[in-house]
Amino acid sequence: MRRILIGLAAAATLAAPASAEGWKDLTGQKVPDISAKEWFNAGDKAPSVEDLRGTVWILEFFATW
Amino acid sequence: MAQVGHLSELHEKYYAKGLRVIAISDEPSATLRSKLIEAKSPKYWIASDPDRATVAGFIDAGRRGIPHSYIVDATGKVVGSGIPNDQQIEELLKAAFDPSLGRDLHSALKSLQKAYEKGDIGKAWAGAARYLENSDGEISRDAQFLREKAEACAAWRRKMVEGALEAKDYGSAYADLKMLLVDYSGMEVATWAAEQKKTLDDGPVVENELKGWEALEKARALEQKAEGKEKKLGPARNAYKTVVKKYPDTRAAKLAEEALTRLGG
Repeated sequence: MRRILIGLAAAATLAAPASAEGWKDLTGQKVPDISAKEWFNAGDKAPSVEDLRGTVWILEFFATW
Repeated sequence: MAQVGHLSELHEKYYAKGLRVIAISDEPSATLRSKLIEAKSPKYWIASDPDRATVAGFIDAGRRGIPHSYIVDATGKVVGSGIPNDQQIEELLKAAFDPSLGRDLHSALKSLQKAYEKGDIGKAWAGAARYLENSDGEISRDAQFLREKAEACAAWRRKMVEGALEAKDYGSAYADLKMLLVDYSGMEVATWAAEQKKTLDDGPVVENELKGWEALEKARALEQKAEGKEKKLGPARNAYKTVVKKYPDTRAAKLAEEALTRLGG
């Protein structure tokens, strides 16, 4: 676990430049809710944070541009 | 667009282990469809959130650069965040798949078991689905067991109802169908129960049976309320008599007659 924590700290340092500005760290906190107008590949029902309990997941904010 | 390949790689590598990769953009779905879905057909989950409803919870204010990722463990806690870099993400995933998380999951599963014991079978069944693909084998097994128990219970209930229908015991079949709709909601048996109930609702033949059954239930409630005290049994007797008179030749009438004999009315 310690090694992972060090890894985390390193990640935070590396991520420090301007582009990480404005993002909350949230490490150790409950993940905020997710919602979207349309989903692709996620099945019939829009997934919620509650649905994802029991699963490890990665959420990436991105753009196609 | 480098992240497309990178997310696909994570999806390929960890999906079977239970990882879900979600990419979210504030671009409209048409843009995502043409530029990403159709162009690259990625397998991971993609969301269009033009209202920025999701991102609002993840930023303080001001400018924000993308891409930016959050890794969430099985208990719903963020284990790390940052700009995607393969090595860091792999490290964080290792932390997220940490078996010590099992404790929290066990308690989550326990609450589902409680729901099951309380009769909320559908909820337990659906909830357990979340734990089937878990890196912790014990949790997957417990979840699987809970699901199987719920399914077995549903099958047994269905058999009972089918038996009642065959015996033309529409009243108890109807009551059980209503129970199946609520307690087993979300399961296949509930869909089946809805169809059966509709058939009964639409069938004029059974209308009398159902009304008779309803009246019988009321009479039974009155009897229960009387708690065996002779003085208070009058209303129950009258209610049973009404069933016999108003709904002759139904199963409810037969049962009401039996009750009257039992009560010595």
